[in-house]
Amino acid sequence: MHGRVKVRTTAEQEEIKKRERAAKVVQYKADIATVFQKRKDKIWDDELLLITKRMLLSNSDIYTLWNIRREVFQNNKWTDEEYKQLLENEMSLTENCLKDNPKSYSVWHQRCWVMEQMSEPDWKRELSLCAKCLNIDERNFHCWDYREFIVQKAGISNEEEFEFSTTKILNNFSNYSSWHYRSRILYKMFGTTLEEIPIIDEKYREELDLVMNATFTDPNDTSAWFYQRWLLDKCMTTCRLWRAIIKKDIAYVIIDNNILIEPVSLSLYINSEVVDVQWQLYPDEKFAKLQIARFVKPLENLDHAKEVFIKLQETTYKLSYSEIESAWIYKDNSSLHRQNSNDEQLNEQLKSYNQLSKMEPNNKWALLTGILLMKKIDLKKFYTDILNNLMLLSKIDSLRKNYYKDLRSKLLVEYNLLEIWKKENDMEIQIRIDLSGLDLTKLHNNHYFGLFEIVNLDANQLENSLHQLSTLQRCTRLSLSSNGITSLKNFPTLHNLEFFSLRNNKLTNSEEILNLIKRHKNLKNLDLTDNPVCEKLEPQILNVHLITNLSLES
Amino acid sequence: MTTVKHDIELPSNIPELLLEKHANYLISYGTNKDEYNYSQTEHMRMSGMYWGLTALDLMGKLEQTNKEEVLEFIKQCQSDSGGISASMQHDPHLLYTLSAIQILCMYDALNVINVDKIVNYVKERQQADGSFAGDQWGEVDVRFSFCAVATLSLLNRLDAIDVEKAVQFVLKCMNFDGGFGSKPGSESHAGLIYCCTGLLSITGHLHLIDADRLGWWLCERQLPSGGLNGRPEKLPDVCYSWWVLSALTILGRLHWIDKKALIDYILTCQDVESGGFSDRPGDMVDPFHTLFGLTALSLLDKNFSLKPINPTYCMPEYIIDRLGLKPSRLDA
Ligand SMILES: [Zn+2]
Repeated sequence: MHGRVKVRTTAEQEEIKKRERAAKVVQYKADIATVFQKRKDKIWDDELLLITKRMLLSNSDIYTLWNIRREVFQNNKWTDEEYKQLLENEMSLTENCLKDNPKSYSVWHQRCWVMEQMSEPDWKRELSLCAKCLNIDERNFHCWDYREFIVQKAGISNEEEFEFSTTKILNNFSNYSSWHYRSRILYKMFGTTLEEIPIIDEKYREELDLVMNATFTDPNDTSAWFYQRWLLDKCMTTCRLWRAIIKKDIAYVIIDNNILIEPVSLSLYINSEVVDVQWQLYPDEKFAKLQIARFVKPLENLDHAKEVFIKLQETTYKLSYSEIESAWIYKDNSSLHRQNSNDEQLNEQLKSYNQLSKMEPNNKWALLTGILLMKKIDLKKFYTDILNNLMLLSKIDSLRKNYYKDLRSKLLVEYNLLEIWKKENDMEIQIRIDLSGLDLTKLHNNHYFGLFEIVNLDANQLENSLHQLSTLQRCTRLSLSSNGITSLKNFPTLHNLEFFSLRNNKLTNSEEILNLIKRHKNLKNLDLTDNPVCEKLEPQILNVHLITNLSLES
Repeated sequence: MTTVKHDIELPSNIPELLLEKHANYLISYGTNKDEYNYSQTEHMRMSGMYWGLTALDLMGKLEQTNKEEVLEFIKQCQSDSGGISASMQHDPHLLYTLSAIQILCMYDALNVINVDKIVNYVKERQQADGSFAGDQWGEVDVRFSFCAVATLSLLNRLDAIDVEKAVQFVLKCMNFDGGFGSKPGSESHAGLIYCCTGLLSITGHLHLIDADRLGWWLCERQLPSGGLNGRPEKLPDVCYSWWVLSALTILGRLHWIDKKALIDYILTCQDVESGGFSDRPGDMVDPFHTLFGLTALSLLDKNFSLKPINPTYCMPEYIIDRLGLKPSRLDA
């Protein structure tokens, strides 16, 4: 079904083709009827093998025929010699089928099955067959998978496979399959629990150089650039505490990592005694990066506590008492800017990629790598350059301009957080964030917003991202003016919300407004000025002070 | 944009969406059962029927199909083991079991088969490591994990298998690029990414995906022609419009590709004479690419006269609603 060109033929050619095909249909029907009849009658004879062989050579995807052949193998009494020969013949049959149809799932599976039946399987021969096959098509994932099967069965060492991947890559940098394979084997051999890099430092540096060599050899091939992103922008899976604030009546805990692979186990200790806590999880039970506990019975012993700890998975974090906050707090401000052990190398590479960008101004990959490097070295220092690169990227790679907008939003948020932290006292947790007028499109890193009380998001483009505000559970004043919002259907319930500005949006549905008010028991002031919906609303509903026309209140 | 080695050029004339022709193409496909292409695809008939019927339903033409004939065929394809085969006398397999259940859900006719036996067949395919074998012969692939989970969820019987273990196996197939391959160690591929994202969507485990990383890899599938490929450095193909778009939709990141450019690519893959879609402009059409051309258009633009498609199940949304299913998504 893939890559078959539709060709124009003459009536005469058409007629010949039609006759040939009609004959094939007749043959197929006769053959398959015979095969099914024999199977039904349990006649496991040579003719059955012969017919199925003929049929599979012309269409190797008829999976049931392979099943029937296996049944013939299993349902006859063979001598060892005979069985060995039978399996050998099957190896040639599958090889022949693969020549025609190298992507046939059933054929590759039959080959695995046969190999497992053999008393003395020749794994070496299979490895060289794979080599041959990969020389014809380096990207055939069936062959790569079969090779993996052989490697496992034959017990080939990681070291040998590492060598193999190096040879493959040096032979041809432009092969995504080889880079993929390399990431697997490297992780297996040199994987690390370090948070910043996927493999141990020494190997990490070597790989960065290897990938730079590859990207400079053929800057337009995409393969190596993906591998590089893995090195520069690791996916954080280890669960770690980012911020926490514990008061007598309420506790907020924020966990920071890309994905939560393991279920989160979180407990609170006061004076080495575990507190009985019911955590509420935000945005939901699964994406539990923000956890909140509301204590019906206040934690009276908190004021005079000697020690307060949070245990997250296997790690214990010690909290400090903050006079400013009148609470026990924990802060890890380093998470957005970690120290690298190889800053020198990263700076060198940045220089090289900047040069590459100058030589090839239309190469988007060099610009993107520039961004990743700058972010890794020092987001604050390179902030303007990063935004510049992003602007260029949206121009030369306009198909993905919305991706770059969202990436920009993410980096802008992180930059602003760093700015806030710079001014923040050690024992203080800043409650105010102003991100107005930044053209933000998404808040994918929304867990960072969990502790802010006054949030200004005016004049952005968050109309399609309202659901991401669900982590603003501590927020009392939220401003979302001028965001092109047409509907509040996806606006989450924020328990503490008191003042909410939705000025100058495109809201039309009064039901949604009433629903919003109903969901927010603490809401005192809702500003809807300059929305079409104003005309439909009574100025005073429920107990909320609605502002539906221009007024001086804010 | 820099030159891309593996891509094609689109003609300047982009045809309209030829719904009438596509419907006629699909309805006539299979009316002549002696036709060569038809007999050559007997070993995947059940999926072929699912592709054709789903496409027709999206175009509002399900009434023009022969429901009774289809139901009778499915009934005859259920084996003693409970599983359903591609065609009569062929062997049961999870791939065709799912296709059959999808068709039965469309026709609202689950009562014509023995559901308990299906559940049992699917359950017996689960391996100790949580993976699923496609049939009794042991081939393991995340495609089969998806088939198993989708089938059982359509039957409201997910409790029959160890869902946590099924999820754990899918996680073992996750790669450095955030994507998924067919088994642990296999390279990422858009079709398998769809299967894994779909499985995690059905079971409510989307938090295990690094959506920014995978979403980026997926939007990088778009080539200057507007078409999408399924892996880096491969040619564009209409069916990847579906695998990539459905996954991006589930991840709440459909806007990361250029919709207009992709719509143009898909429309160019129509056969303006015979109807139907092909993988690339000028190639032979088939029901498989016809379905995925239409489902992609349905996700991309509500203004086409197509029913909305559910990205997780690849079935019309109204059927998923009727079944009361709510597969999770990251955009709400
Ligand atoms: Zn295709």
